[in-house]
This record gives sequence, C-alpha cells and structure tokens, in this order.
Amino acid sequence: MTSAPRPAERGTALAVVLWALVALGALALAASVGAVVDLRLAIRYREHAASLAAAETALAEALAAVTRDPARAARADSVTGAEGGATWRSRWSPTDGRVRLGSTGSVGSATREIEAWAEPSGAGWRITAWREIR
Amino acid sequence: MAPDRGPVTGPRSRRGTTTLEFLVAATIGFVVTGAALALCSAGNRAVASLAASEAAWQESRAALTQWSADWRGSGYDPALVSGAAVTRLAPDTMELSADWNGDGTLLPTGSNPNERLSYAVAPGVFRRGVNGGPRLAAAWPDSALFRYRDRAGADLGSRPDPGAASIAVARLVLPTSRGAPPPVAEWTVARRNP
Repeated sequence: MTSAPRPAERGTALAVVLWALVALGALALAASVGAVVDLRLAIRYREHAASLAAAETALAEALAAVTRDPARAARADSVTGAEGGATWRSRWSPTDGRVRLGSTGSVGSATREIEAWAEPSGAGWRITAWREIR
Repeated sequence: MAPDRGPVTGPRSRRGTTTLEFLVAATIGFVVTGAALALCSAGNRAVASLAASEAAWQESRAALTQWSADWRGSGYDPALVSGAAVTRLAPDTMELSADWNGDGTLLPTGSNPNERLSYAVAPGVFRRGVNGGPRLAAAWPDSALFRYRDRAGADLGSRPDPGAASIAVARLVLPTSRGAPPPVAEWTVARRNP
C-alpha cells in the first residue's frame, strides 16, 4: 500500500521541477535573444548592402547624365533619385578634364558613400578610381 | 503555550530517523541534486555554445565587411601616379594597395596607415596586415581560403595573375559544436578599380 507524499517530499519534487524549468527557461531565453540579435544584424547588413547598391546606382546615373549632356560635366551638378525604399544622390565637379563624383545611397538607417573619378572614354565616361568613404 | 506541531501519529514520528533511512535519503538527495546540477551544466554549455556561435558570425561579418571594402577599393589611384594595385594573390593570402588619400604615393603615414594591406587566412586565423605588420582582425574560422575569378566569373585557379583577378571569394568555415554540420560563410566581392 502506498501512502501520499509528505509535504517535504512534495517540496523537494517541486524544487527540482522549478530548477529544471529555470534552467530550460534560461536556455530558451538565451537562444531567443541570440536569434533576435542575429536577425537584426542580418537586416542591418542587408540594408548596408542595399545602400551600397543605391550609391552605385547614383554613380551610374551621374555618368549617364554627363554622357547624355556633356555640358553638365563642365560644371558642378548633381542627380538624385529613389527606388524601392532606397534613396540616392550623386554630386560631381570637373577637375583637370575629369570629374570627381561623390555618391550616397540610403536604405532604412544605413547610409553608404562612395567617391569616384571618371574620365572621357569614347562617347561616354569610364571610372578610373573608386573607393568607399563609409 | 507550546506551538502546535500538528498531530503526532504512528510509531515513525516517535522513533525519529534511523541511520539506514538517513543514508537512503542522503543518497537520493545526492542523486537528485547531481541530476539537477548536470542539467544546469548542460544548459550552461548550450548557452555558451550559442554565444560562441553568435560571436563567430558577428566577428566574421565585421572582418569580411572590412575585407570587402578593401578588395573593392584595391588599386584606388585618383592621382594616376601611385601605382596602387593588387600585387599578390594566393589561396591563403593577398596583398594589395590603394592611394586612399590621393597624394600620389603609397607611403605609410600615421594618419593614413592602410595604403598597403595584406590579408592572411588559416585555420583559426583571419589577419589583416597593415603596412606589413599583421594585426588580428578575427580568429574564428576553422578553415578559410580565397578563390579568384575574372571579370566574367571564370575561375582563375589558386594563384592567378593579380591583374586578371577581378572577383575574390572568401570562404570561412566557422566553429561548430561536435556532430553538427559546420556553418560556412562565403563572400563574393568584385573590384571596382581598373
């Protein structure tokens, strides 16, 4: 014949169960926090990649603009645009037969900026130097 | 008045606890406590493993983001006289230069120390060397290597002509817990300078 557990036995069993629940809860919390942090970093990385693409779009649009209208290459000018949540802007100024371009692209909270130099090449322009500023 | 301790019933309460009962109870207590501690220890190891994995990914991202920017801008030469270029490529190393400040030279200065760079990868090592002096950027990968392609995407082998390589691929195998397939990070980046 079995007897009902005494209060001390019930307390011990409860302590063990709670201990296990706390340990498993801590594990689940750590995993959740890690996943959220990783997700945010991945989103931020994607925004930065999209910003860089937008800055390069700005650069291409600027070169297209001075190709269409070569007179614009003789003075400081700029182009701007937006597409699919990204905004971009490119400014340029003439220097010794070349143009120096500064292009910025933004998506969400990420902004990327590149600097490039271009020189006339045939009917268009070609990039001779390219770097990321940020 | 004495506190009420509840009803005293049965012979056990009157006898107290025997040595045998005490030993059995202590053994059971030790076993239960040990199991609980083992559970906590396993949990701690799992949390530590997760944290290490997150740190590996984050540090790899940071290191490869830096490498990507360096590779994209390699050969940057706005003055057209510095001779900045990619100078050496191998599966485990690359050397490149860029005239970031546009002064026409690649001489290192205190304010501009990154015009000549080298990268070296090996198991446990991802180094970014500045002006010949290696500096640890990250030490996470289990293994890593570079591969190279031309502008059209054709594979150039392990030691290509630096002038022909336009696209670089950095492949890192990150640490993992025993038995799990290792996560692999692969970044493909194209140079922008001619």
